[in-house]
Amino acid sequence: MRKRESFPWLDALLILLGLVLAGWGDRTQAAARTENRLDPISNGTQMLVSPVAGLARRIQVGTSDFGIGVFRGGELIRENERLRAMEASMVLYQESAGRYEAELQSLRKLMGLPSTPGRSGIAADIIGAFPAQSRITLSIGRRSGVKAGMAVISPDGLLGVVQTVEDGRCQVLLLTSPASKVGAMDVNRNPPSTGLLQGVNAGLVTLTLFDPKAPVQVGDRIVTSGYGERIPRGLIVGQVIQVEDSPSEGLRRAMILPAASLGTTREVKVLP
Amino acid sequence: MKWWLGFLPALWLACGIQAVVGATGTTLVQLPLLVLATFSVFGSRTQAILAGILCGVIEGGVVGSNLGAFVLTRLIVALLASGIEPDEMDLRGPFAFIWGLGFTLAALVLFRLGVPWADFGLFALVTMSCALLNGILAIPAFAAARKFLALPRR
Repeated sequence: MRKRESFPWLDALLILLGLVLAGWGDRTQAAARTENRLDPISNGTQMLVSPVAGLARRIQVGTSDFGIGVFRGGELIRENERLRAMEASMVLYQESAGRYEAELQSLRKLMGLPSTPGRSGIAADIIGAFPAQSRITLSIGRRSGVKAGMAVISPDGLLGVVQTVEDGRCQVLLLTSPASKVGAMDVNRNPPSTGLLQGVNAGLVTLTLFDPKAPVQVGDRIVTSGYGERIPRGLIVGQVIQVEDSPSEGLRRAMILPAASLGTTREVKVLP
Repeated sequence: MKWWLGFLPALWLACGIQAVVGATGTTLVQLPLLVLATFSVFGSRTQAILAGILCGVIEGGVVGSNLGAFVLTRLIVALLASGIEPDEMDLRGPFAFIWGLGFTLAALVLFRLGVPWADFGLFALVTMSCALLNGILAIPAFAAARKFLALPRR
């Protein structure tokens, strides 16, 4: 087989185009990162590959879950029992915390002080859950003052971000969705290491750190960075369970176990 | 036309899988690079250049950073691969393995020049593992591409 003939001038032009594109792409991505958002090229390409990535992720998670079930079944049962006991004590703790918070707010009102900023959310019920799409539906919408981009919190921490709003309900993209992108930081480091959160699967999110040498460690607590317009700083995201370097991509990533879990949440708050 | 009909879906699948494999931490395989190098061998230089740019943009976009480094390294790999005459070089078995290992090493080392990494030991380990795995995968990849493009067996 002889290869088809190339056109030297066209090739030179294409190489030049590639070099220009490389320079422009780098600048666009760097500019977007400083504004804590994703550039249009990355957004477009991630949308393009998302159907294949979604399928591959489901296969990966299914295989991994099967393997864990086979090899660590007994250990998981014991861990489940321990977690159930912890959950029961957490429910009691949350009830007490809720009472104290209500008392605090009424005392602030008596003293003529405004409510605690960024935490006086609009209460809502979860009326639909679509774990496969990493999406939930809430019972409140435009009429209650909900807008796209607002943070949705559960008693444990940040659950997701409002994506679309109708009159009487809204759709929330969960933090664990691969399409979800939220700025976050490691509060155990001084100065805090910042990065961009992205969902991996139903129980895991990754924090891609802006600094590949960021001193993030297992056990560190991650909270929202508050660089966006709608998501306040300091909302609990979760805890670092693993730190991984990717030299081939020039990145450092932290795997985060989210604090908020859809499985145990029925009522949430939308932060205006 | 057939070349593009094979390359574009293969690149799409490879980038989708790479997005998942890469998201779990240290990447030990470079599937888009493998697809690019395989098809570039069997395509013209013009096709290889276009494919290199496209591959770099998609990979850089999926990762969300270092797009320039991705485009440049993929462009160089594509150009190198397009210089090979499949008629003159039997890209099967050990030769396919060596070629797969070689282009992965070249791409990752070139990438490191653009994006320096503090831990050289880890970089060397990951690069070698990645090159070995890509070398192994290059054997069926070259065979599949040859069959798809209906090229005569030597």
